[in-house]
Amino acid sequence: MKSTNSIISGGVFNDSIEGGRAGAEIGIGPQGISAILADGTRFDLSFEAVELEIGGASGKMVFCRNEDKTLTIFTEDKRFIHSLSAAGSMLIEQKVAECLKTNRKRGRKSRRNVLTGLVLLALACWGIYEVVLYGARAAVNSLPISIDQQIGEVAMSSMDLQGGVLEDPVVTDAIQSMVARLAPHASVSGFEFDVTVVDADILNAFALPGGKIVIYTGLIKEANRPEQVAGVLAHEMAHVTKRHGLQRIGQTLGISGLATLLAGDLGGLAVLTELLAFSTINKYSRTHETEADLEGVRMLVAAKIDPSGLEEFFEIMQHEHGDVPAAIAWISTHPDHEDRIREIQNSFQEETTAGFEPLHLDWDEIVKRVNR
Amino acid sequence: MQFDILARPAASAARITLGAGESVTCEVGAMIGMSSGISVETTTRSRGSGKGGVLKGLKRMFSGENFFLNHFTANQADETLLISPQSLGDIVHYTLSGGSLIVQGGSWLASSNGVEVDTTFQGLGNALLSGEGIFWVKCSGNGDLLMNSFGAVYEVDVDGEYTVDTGHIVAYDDTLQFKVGKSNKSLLGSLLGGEGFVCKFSGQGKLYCQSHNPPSFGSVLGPKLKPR
Repeated sequence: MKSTNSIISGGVFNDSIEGGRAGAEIGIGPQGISAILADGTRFDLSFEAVELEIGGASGKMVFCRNEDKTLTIFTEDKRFIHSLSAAGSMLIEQKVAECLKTNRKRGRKSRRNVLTGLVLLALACWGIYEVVLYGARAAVNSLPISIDQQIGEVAMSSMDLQGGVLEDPVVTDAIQSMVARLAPHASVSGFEFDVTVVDADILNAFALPGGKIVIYTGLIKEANRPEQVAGVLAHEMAHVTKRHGLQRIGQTLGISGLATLLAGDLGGLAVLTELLAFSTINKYSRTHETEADLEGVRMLVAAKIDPSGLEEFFEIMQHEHGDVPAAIAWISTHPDHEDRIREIQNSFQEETTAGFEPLHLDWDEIVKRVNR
Repeated sequence: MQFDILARPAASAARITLGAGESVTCEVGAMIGMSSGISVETTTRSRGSGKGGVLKGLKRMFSGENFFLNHFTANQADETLLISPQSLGDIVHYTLSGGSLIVQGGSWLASSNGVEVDTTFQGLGNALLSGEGIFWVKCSGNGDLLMNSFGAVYEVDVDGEYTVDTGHIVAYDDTLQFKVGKSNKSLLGSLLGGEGFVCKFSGQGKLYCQSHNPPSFGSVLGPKLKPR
């Protein structure tokens, strides 16, 4: 019979100890396990009586208990279980093997549960996303257009446009003429499109609910031909007619409401709900962008304006700003430019039979004026 | 070193009486006042072991604590230091003697030299659903430890199984483990009962729970606040 004399740090639970627990040095002898406290008090567990269990906060702590559980010797030292197995007793070797087997089985079950939980969580996120997407859309479509107009006016008046309004009639009339050509082909009638040209070197345009559109001179400067600007305007007008602004408000409110309904006490889910809201809102935003691209192309084709202008504009954007790296695309609010260009190409390839009519504008003069 | 917890449990503060040369490490910003014979030093390292540095500081930040630690050392006998946590609630004194205590991120307030403060991860499921932070503070070694709770703190001697609502754990012995599960036998019952998920502890050891949890309190208070 082999004896192991290694001393290992651990602890003891026993009612005779003040506070019920104390640190101890643990030894393995030929007949059993011993624990010696700092004050010299000794506790012994024979191999015959001992019951083994692995657990604790780390999941790696070994607990050795007597039958009536009045004495527990424990340690997290990795050497302990191996030393116990090699103590020379067939009985303890068997008990160690059984304990490790139970622990492995429990580990597999736990991993399976976590995996199942993650799959269910992913399904719940997808479900919430779909419910909110369609719920917000249905709710917004049942509201009168006047609500969009009121929200748009309030937003416009409180917004910092980051530049002065350009008053040059040659430029503003040209932009307004593009809108006038597109407006009759909007999928929803009743919106009044009002474009403001802002004198700032920003490559951007945006739409507010109700029909207010802001376009920056920085964008006009970058365009090589008027069809590119008309493409951007059609995209922004599509955001208005598809009522994306109101849907976004409804969706943001809906996520927290639905999560509360589904999960009850949200106190325990703070990390999860933040993550869910963040990724879902941005995914929702990307869906809107793609939808506005496609609806914009439809409007351009209907107005007999060459839709490849929008595609060309995204190529300019790609050249100027590059693309969002694929790894972080899911947290972006916009789809990457390559995807958008591909989507647009696919959508109007079917429409090439329509005869496009050019926009009769002196584009060089307009660009010259915004460059002043 | 002597610890007195004052004004329990709603707005507790701790008075620490230090002997000559004795030192205590506190959370940054915890000091209310101190007598003139105490010197203060701010570092990223634990005082007793000297372990730590920038990496440990960053790890502490992930668990909801501060990058820096404040060390208060008495230059003579009977110097007093008054400290309190950032939020309202109780303070509990715990004596570590060789084992480890797993403390909720943000609940570690102060410890004596022999206590090593580190960060630990308690599994993906627990990180996402326990209502606590993703990382926890692991205090080990020999010495005194002060923890703070939101609301009153109560101690439970677990021997077998015990269930705590998410967001109510302050600390637990390393001899305990917990898993997040349903409060009710059926998932629907769990959700409709308003308790959602709960933390199910097993093993033998001490568990410290808090009477309130900040997110629930925030959701009651939030709607009553005027927008800024």
